[in-house]
Order: sequence, then C-alpha cells, then structure tokens
Amino acid sequence: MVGGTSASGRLERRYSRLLRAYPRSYRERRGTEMVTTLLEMAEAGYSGPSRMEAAHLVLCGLRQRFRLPAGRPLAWVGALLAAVVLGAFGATAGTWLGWQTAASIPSDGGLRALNAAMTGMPAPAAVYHDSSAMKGPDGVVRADGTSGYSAERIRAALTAAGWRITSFRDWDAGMIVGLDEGLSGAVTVRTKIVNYQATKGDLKLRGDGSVVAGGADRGLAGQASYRTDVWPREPLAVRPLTVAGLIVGLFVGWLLAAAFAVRVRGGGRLRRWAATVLSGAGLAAAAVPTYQHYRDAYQVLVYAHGSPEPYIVYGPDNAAVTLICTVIGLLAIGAAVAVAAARPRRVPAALTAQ
Amino acid sequence: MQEPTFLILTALAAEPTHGYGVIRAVEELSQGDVVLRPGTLYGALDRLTEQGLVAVDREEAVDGRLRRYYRLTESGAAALTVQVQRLRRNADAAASRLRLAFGGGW
Repeated sequence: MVGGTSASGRLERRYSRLLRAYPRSYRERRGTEMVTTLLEMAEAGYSGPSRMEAAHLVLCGLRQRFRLPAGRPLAWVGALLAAVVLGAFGATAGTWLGWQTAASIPSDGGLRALNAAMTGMPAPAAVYHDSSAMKGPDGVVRADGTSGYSAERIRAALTAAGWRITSFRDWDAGMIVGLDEGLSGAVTVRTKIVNYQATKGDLKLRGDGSVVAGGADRGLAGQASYRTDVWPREPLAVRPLTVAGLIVGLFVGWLLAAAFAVRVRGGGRLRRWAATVLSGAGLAAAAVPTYQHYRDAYQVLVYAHGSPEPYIVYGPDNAAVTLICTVIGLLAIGAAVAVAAARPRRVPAALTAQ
Repeated sequence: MQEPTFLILTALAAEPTHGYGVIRAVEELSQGDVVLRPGTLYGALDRLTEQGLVAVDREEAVDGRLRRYYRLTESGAAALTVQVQRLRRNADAAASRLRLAFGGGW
C-alpha cells in the first residue's frame, strides 16, 4: 500500500502491526480492507490509534484466533478435546518445570555408601528411581543380607553423611518363620524393627529395616532387610506451575484446533474427511496419556505438603469425598438434562393481551 | 438481535456500503450514541456473512487501499423486517402503557 504522506505511512504501518493480533489467514482476507477503514476513520477525525482503541483492536484479533468456523459441531468437539488433551500435557510440563528448582537427590553411589554405612552390609545394594506423589524424584536404596543390628551405627552413618535425624524408633517384635511340627502354633523369632527419618537441607529421608536377632538354630540370625527413601522437599513452585501449565495447555489446545479447523474448512471434501478421521484417531490415542497426566496433576495438587511419606496415604475420607462428588456430579448432570429438555414456558396470555 | 447488529443491517438496507461508510451511517442513525470500533464492525460483518444476512457486493481497490462494499441479502432484509416489527410492537405497547399510567406526551 502506498501511503500519501509519511505520517499516513506511519499510521498505516502502526495499524498493520496491530492487526498482527489476528490470525494470518484472516489478515490475508481482511487486512487491507481493515487498514483502509482504520485510515479512513483517522482521516475523518475519529480518534486515532489511542491506547484504548489499539487494545480493543488487539483484543478483537486475539478473540478471532479462538473462533471456530460456524456450523461445524465437530470442530467444537475437536477444539474442546484438544484443549483437554493439551491441558493435561501442560500440567505435567508445569510440574516438571517446578521440580527443576528442587534439591537434587544424592547419586546412586552416594545412596549405596550411606546404606552400607548404616546397615553394615558392604555388598552393593539395589537403587531404584521412583517418582513421588508430587511427581518429584525419589531415590530408593534396598538391601537384604546378614548383619547384626546397631542403632548407633545407623545414627552415626546418617550424622556423618550430614543428615539431621528427626525421628528414630526401634523395637522388638516376633517374626513368624514357620509352624511347629505339631501344627499347634507359629514359630516366631525375635526381630528388631527400626524406623528412621532425617532431613538434610531440602532433602528428606525415611527408612525402615528389620534384623532377626534370634533364630540361630534355623540359621536366621542376623538376616537383615532395609529400605531407605530419599526425596527433595516439594518446591513451592510446583503447584502454581502445574495449574499454570494446565491453563496454558487448555488455551494452546483450543487455539491450535481453531487454526486447524479454519485451515481445513478451505479444503475439499476428501481433505476435510481425512483431517476429521485423523484428528479423531489422534485424540482417541491421546486419551490414555491424558488420563495419566490428569491423575498425576491431581496427585500433585492434593498431596499433603510436608508429609513424612513421599506417597499419598489414602484414608477413609477419600472414599467419602469420591462418593459425595459422584452424587453431586450426577445430580448436576441430571438437573442440566432436565433444564435442557424442559420446553420454554409460554408467557401467560393475560400478560400479553392487555 | 443486539443494537449494533440492528444498526449495521439498517445501515446496509438503503444501499451497499463499505466499512467506514457503515461506521458513519451507524453513528448517524443512532444520533451519535453508537460509534462502532473497527474490531467490532468486522466481527459483526463476519458473523452476519456466515449467517447469510449480509454479502459482499463489490470491491474497490485504489492506490493500495481496498474498500469492500457489503449489501443486505434477502434473508438479511427479512430478518431486519421481523426485527423492525418486533421493535415497533414493543415500542407501541410501551408508549400506550405509559399513556395509560401518566397520560399525554407519548
């Protein structure tokens, strides 16, 4: 477009920039026409591109990006599903981002060394990597072997590795190892059970073990089994970023679906049909990961912050909440169906006859 | 039908008009009450075109500028007629009731 003067050229460029808020396909169709109208308004003395006017234009452009082609119910369904799917992935991405600010758990070697020092069993222990309820890292070291029990050894090993013990408990118990010959009762051997918790900076540790003290006649004495979990304290950013990721995902899903629908609309019948079938298949395939991501996001959001367990401990309350929510949900859906099915009531004739 | 939509259809009723012409006509018709912003105008034109109430009449491209003229379609004229009847009926009803309650002047 050729501007008459440099001032109108500047104005024209400014309008063109503002119109970038609109989708490209829309700009190609309407851009020149809209700039013409805007310039004609400016020339006629209407308020120029004031901040309010500019904001309104940009807002209209952004809203255009969310619009779906009219009379295409499948596009609506697709956009809704795409929003739900990308919302799930966005929530997981947000959680992941949140965890990047957490303290890192010790290396496998570090966990094995700590385990060896605590348990007195130098053989290499098994290390697993799990994820906690809030989808953070969780290192687990497990060891089974033979070693005498020493509370002092465990305490000293933890302290030497820089851990501050917050709870330590051990007690004697009987472990059933078989039935006696007359089948008149169980054979139990004396066993020491230990339970310990500690913290180090932003790391948490929790472990338990059992060491058989009796049972020498059966060759059981000293049989020991330990499990220790190490995981970082939940960073405060995890939950807000999970919710933010969910929201961003919802928007992006809808926007992509809207852009896709506009593009497909211009194609032939075969192309539209292929696009519908393929996106239907894609969305169907995404159902399982979407469910998993939402379940993870749910756990991230409901996990009891600061819990001594890295996992969600479900109690009877959870069943009650599920039941209450199910009943409320069914009632709401029933009411919605009833409202939708109800015929609009006619205004009584007496009111209109006057 | 919302007021801006009604006014846009009214603006196009007499003759095909381009974007800025519609804005000016709407302002005149509403005696300055309604000044359409371009974003609103084109959003409404998109919707009305999709509904088949309005169609592009012709285009004028001059000096890199593009004026696109819109006209009322037959169904647009029908929709506007229905709306006019409804508004007239409601306005008459309101005026007669006001006359009953407060007398004269209406």
